[in-house]
Amino acid sequence: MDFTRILPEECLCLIISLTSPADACRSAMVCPALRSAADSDAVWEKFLPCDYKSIILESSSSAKLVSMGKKELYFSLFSHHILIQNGTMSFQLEKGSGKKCYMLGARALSIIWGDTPFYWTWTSQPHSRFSEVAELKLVWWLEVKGRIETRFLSLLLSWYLKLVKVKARRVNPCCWAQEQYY
Amino acid sequence: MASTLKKIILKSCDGKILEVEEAVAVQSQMIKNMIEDDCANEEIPLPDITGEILSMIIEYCKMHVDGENNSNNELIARDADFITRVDLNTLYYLIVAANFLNVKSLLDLTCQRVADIIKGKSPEEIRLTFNIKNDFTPEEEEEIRKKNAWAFDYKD
Repeated sequence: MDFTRILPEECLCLIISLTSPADACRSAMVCPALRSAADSDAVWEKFLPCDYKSIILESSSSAKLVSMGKKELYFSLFSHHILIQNGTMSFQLEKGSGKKCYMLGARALSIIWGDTPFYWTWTSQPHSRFSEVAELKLVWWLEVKGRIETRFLSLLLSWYLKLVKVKARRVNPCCWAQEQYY
Repeated sequence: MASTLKKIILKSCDGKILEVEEAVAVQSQMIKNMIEDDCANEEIPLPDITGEILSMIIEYCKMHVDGENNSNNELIARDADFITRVDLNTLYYLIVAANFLNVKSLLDLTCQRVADIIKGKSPEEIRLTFNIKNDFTPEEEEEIRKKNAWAFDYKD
């Protein structure tokens, strides 16, 4: 018996929303009834993070993002990052899980001596998502701190942090770095 | 105590009459609303729900009422035992009935069961498993495949 002919659309949507984004995409190809459920806003809204509305409202392209269907929005957010927090932070979705990925730009970091041109300069890099990056000239004391508010993070999920190194021209052997994660 | 012993009378579409304790019947949000609106004093006809399905739903609701003091793990184990005894066709009618009667935990349990069977399968495997006819033209199918291309290489 074909369940897509027995169950009302709201039940088909509930079933698909209990799978995963990849399963929903594969289900869309099964038959027209399942496609209608698998492409629905009701399903993709569940795959988006619960606070996605407040996140996209911070983006300069929020008007476009808000007008999208939820599946289109999900695809857009995993294919392209958006800048939030006045352009100092980027946000993207992890494709398969819909988990939130944030990146702090150099302007969101606290860099010791960052405002002293003798040690650090601020430039723009065409390949960087952020309008400004910090370039290290010379250092005797390297200390970079980043803070992310816990309200941005999902509860009950593991988080991982990655330090993105832009470009190091020369490494001074006297330097040492310590990464502290709280 | 008197209110918990009050019986609600349910009538299936094939004429089976079931008397259910109110505490069990109110697991259905629909029946609960009817009781609150004082509309449940006579037998409640349930179109589209057969006696067999209705008995299963009452068994499930009774299990939850009786197990109220049990640990969460025990309830999960009982739910798992209940749902694995159900074949696919019965499962679909349970979903329709749980949706109509608005028994949220049973609706979630039954839909999760179908979702678990779908997970990780290709469109062809889903069609085969559930005996679904492919109504798409080859062109439509190709277009949908292109739009959702990443999902075909992606492993959860």
